[in-house]
Amino acid sequence: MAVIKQSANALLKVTHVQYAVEQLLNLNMETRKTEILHDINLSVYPNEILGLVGPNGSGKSTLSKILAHIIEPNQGKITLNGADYQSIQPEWHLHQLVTMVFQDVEAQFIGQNFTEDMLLYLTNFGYNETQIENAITEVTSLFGLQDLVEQPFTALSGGQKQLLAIAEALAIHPQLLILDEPTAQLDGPNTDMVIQLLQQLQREHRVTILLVTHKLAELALTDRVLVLNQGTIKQSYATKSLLTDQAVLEANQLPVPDTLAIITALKQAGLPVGQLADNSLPAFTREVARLLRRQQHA
Amino acid sequence: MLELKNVNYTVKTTQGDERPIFNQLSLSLVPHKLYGLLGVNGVGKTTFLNLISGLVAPTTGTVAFKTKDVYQSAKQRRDYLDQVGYCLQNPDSLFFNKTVLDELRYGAGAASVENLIQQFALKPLLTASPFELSGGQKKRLALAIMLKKQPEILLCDEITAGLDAHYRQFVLDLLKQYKRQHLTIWVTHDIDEAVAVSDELLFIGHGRVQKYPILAALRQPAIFKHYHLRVPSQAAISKALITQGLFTDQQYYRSNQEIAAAITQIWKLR
Repeated sequence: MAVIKQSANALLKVTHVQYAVEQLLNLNMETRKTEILHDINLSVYPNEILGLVGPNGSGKSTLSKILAHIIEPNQGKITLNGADYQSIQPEWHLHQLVTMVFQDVEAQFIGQNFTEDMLLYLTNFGYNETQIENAITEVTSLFGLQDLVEQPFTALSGGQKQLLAIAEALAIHPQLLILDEPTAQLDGPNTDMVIQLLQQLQREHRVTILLVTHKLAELALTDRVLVLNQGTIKQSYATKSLLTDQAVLEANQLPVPDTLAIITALKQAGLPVGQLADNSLPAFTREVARLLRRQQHA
Repeated sequence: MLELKNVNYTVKTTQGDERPIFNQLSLSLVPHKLYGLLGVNGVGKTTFLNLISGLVAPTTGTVAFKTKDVYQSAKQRRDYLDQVGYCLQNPDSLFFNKTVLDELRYGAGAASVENLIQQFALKPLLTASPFELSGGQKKRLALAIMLKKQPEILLCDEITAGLDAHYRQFVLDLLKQYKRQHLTIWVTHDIDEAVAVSDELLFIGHGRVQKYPILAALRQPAIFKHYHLRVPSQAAISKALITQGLFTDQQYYRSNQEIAAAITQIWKLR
């Protein structure tokens, strides 16, 4: 499948976005302004998974919330399909076009259980009862979560809640889905499940995703990666070149794939190892075999 | 030192019937060790930590610390709680003060606050509300608060989730150092990280908790599969090299550095 990326028109375009919080310090009404984001410029293209990385506290969650129209920037412009966020009316329509799953899933739910939560959520978007029931069936079958819909959230594990939160954000078929560290709380099997689902969404449903992450398994899903640091987009990488460059990964506080870390350690020890074609185990084993067998024959 | 004997723990479901989480659990944990607690979502990792934290009493059976039954009396339980530091999965539940500084100053041990600020690089955050911090910053603050009282038992529930590489390493180093004098248990979903740092693994599943030394577990990947966990990448890498005849059967290592050192060793010998 041919994927049109940079040449296509941007789905979402962010220009000169700036955001600061003003804090009340005391009863003399003295305040202090802290700039969190200054001059953010970025584009998200249709059907891409765009990664957003950066050190803790760099403003990733704040930027995500601005893009999801949960908080408003002080300055700057955001357009979706060319239309300014301010011009999209009624306002709730924007929340249908761009949805977000929070880092803290507890903040996501209002109802006692998923069914109740979906009822509250989708009523806001004018869904009737039948449509709501259909939406619940559709997303839960996609995830295999049918058994959880009536369980109270208090009885579910963090991972199960995370899966339901993503299911909910997908229920209204958004054009852009923003995920803030979606598998940070999940174990291996659940992580795999979410990741497989994200791939499926990208391929079959053409959902565009902005993925805030620190994890390699999630980064591997992305097409491009933006690095946010000190409130601005510092760098942009093609994922493939990022994931095979240990120095760049480390400079951006990202984890290094194990195979790459071992090869780099061997290089530093002065062994004549070559570049890995990719970070896969077969590519790694081939390289080590070449190294050790060559030595054997010499 | 921490002794669980015949612990049963049952919860009531919404349908009103009883669901056993732990069944005749007996386990002994000692200081100077870092235990990595592993298990799939919903299996009871947090429940296990709650049971040994002094917060939740087992349905039947005993949890004893230095031979004293933790849940025997309210006083015994209070005494025990003083010796436990528990970083909850959701750090928000730990915070109640207006600022990060107030949070750090709260309670005994004020003398160590300056050190903690330095050690955890909290200086730029002191006047912020703990609830406004980023996810990673909250985890750091929670750990700093818990370490202030230097608890004999430190429990960390997904303390590295959402941390960037720099602070992840910082927290891992801290755990490695803390366990030298204390009993430390941590939950993580990053199996590779658990293997690289822990001394022993505690597998939770099927109503039980099973203890394995790291190398023993690495040599038997079936253990991980039994608990529906991913095989650690260290084991997968060793296994691939063994299959190629590059490593011998017993060459399993905990970390990438050790694997690299082993390859270097072979390269030099040949």
